Amino acid sequence: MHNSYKVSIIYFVFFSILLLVSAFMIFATKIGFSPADISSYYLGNEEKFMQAKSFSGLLKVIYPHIFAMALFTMVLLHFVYFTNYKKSKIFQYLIISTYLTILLEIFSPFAILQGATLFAIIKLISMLCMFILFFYIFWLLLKSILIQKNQNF
Amino acid sequence: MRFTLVKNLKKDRQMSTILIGLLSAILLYLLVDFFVKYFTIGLTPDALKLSLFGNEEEFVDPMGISSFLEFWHTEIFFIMMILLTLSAIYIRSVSQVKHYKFTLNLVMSSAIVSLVSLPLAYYVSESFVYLYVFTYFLWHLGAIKMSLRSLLELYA
Repeated sequence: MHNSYKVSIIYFVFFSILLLVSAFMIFATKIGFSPADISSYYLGNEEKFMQAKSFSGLLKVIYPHIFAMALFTMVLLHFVYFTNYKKSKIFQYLIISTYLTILLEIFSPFAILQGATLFAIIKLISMLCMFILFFYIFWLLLKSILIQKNQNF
Repeated sequence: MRFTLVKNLKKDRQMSTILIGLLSAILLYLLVDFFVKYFTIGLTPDALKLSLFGNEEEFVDPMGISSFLEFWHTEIFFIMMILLTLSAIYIRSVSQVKHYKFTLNLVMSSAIVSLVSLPLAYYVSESFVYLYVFTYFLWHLGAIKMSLRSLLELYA
């Protein structure tokens, strides 16, 4: 791989960190980090003057995220493919767990809207797992480029 | 990103035509972005301040936190994807040019600074709008230069 691609990937990781920070801030501002907050956000709460989310309203938010999150995940994971972790078992688990986590994160609000409030906990856990997995991928990429100076990369 | 594996892009007419199409679209996006920003949040420090913080005398409401964060989030996603694609083509098509690394670093770092300065302006101090406007134009002009340079190299 051309040396300058490494520079582009390092910048891409910084952009990705910014993207996750902004997602975290949106979650903190609009929803909150407890299962009760998440249930209130989707099902509404009279005491907090919050309206319940409609099915179409939820679709409008989820629709662009399905493709955008899958594309973002694919781009990040395909960079890991060029590192020494390509043949490790952990990479295979990383691919499956990242896609499963983003699917749960995206679609769990539909279950909450159907009254399955248990999915508020699943939404919270999947979101936290998603952040951990993405930051782990960032670490793998930065480690391969800056510390190990991977020649295959 | 299969084009990164093609040995000589200039000799591969099909692949270079595909990339010329993509580069033209990126160039158009960057130019249209000036108009979009001009008509939405503004392209001058004063217009940007008015959009972000409002003005009681002119009865202009400030931008809400949710709206601001959603705008910022979307901007980051589009900019990162465009610059990743553009940089991949630029590196591949003009790798012989001596100072291309300078342009690449300038565009990438100024885009990151512009994205960071936006929430700093909103949450910390409105004087960061000057940094935002400066770095916004810097990375846009740099990205336009990268697109034009790549187009010229692929046409030649």
